[in-house]
Amino acid sequence: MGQKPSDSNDKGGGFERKEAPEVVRDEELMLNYQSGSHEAFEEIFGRYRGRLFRFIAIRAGSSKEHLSEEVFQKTWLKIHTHRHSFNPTFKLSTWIYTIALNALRDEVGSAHERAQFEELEEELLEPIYQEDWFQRNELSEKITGALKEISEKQREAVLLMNIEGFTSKEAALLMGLTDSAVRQLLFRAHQNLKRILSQVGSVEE
Amino acid sequence: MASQNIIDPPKELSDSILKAITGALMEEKVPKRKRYFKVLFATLFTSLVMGLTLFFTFGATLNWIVAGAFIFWAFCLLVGFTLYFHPQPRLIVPGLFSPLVFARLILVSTLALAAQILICPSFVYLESPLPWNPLEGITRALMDQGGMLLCMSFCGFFFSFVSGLVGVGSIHKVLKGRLIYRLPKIAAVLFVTQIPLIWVQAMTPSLVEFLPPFIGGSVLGILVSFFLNFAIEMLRSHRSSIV
Repeated sequence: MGQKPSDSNDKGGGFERKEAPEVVRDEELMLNYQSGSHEAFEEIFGRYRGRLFRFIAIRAGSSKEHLSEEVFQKTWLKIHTHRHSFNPTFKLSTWIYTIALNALRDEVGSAHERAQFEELEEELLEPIYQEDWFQRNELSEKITGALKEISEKQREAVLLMNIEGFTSKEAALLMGLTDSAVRQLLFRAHQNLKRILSQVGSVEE
Repeated sequence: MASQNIIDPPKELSDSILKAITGALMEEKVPKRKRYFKVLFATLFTSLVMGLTLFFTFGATLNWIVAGAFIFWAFCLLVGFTLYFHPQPRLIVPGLFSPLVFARLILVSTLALAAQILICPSFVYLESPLPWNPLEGITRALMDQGGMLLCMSFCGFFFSFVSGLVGVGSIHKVLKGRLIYRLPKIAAVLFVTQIPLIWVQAMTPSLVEFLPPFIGGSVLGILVSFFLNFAIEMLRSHRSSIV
């Protein structure tokens, strides 16, 4: 603690990365933040700003840059306002992503905006092309196309667990489902993806 | 879009959030009595300026009813400044109704309403001392055309329209594209700041019967100011999309 904010994924952007003598757990930092330490907040902000922005941007859609920025701001302000409600027995990342998801849902709360959001869903996977883990090759295009074919919940399970790296328990908390329901969703999503990809000749049955 | 844009939040955005939240944490460390002092000082100073202006303007015709209205407005200012000085991230985000936003709406609409009394030539029969009054001609024309009924409707409309236009305009960034969903909340705040005017009329026997047209005009004024703000916002977003 006490160091400048850092983000393992950040490249520049004004935040220097310094090696901490020992890694302080997120939850411990949060406890310090709850008691008013701005150094703790700066560290949490440094750790999460990049991945939280990506998490939001992927869901908001590439054409709605301002939406990502608004939700990003809203999420941090909500984190600050509700910081005393954080229970340190839970993971900080889950708590933060839940706030982000709720903020995103608020933005698409009205019927009109939901309709617009559905249009955005078409572009949902567009930013994936720009991530390291999906190279611009034929297979990634097919996977992206296949992901569009499966249901929204199945896609969310794939994004959270296979791409964001959440465990099934964490994904369950974020999606408001049970652990087994999420694992079942992921299983079905994988089966559907496999079926769709085999139809387009990318994966053997 | 460049990949950097989607992967990293813009630096200015990160900086503004970081600054706002660390600033809020610093504010929390300031002793409460220091904050209460600030609230009290700001309220007293603004009330004094408002009160003195009204006193020197209408000194001879001021009565306890008008004084009651003034006290209510002073209370509105107290609420506004309490919300304003509450420790919080000083960041206005579209769609987020923070205490800062409410403070701005309450303070701006209260001051706008109070200032309008100065240019209303016949409000509760108070004589406006201003050498040139932009509303005098309109009032005369309305009195000739529809008598007190029309004049009071216009009075309610004008007061709420101007305070709505200025008040809502002061928080337009929060309402970006969402004005219609926030209408009840904002209309409630604007209506509360109008209570002193309603109070004065309700307590003045000769004006009681004209209270319904005044309130009707007020509601219409709020709606029209909303519509105008909405149109301005649409125009702004249309222009920015063209650019």
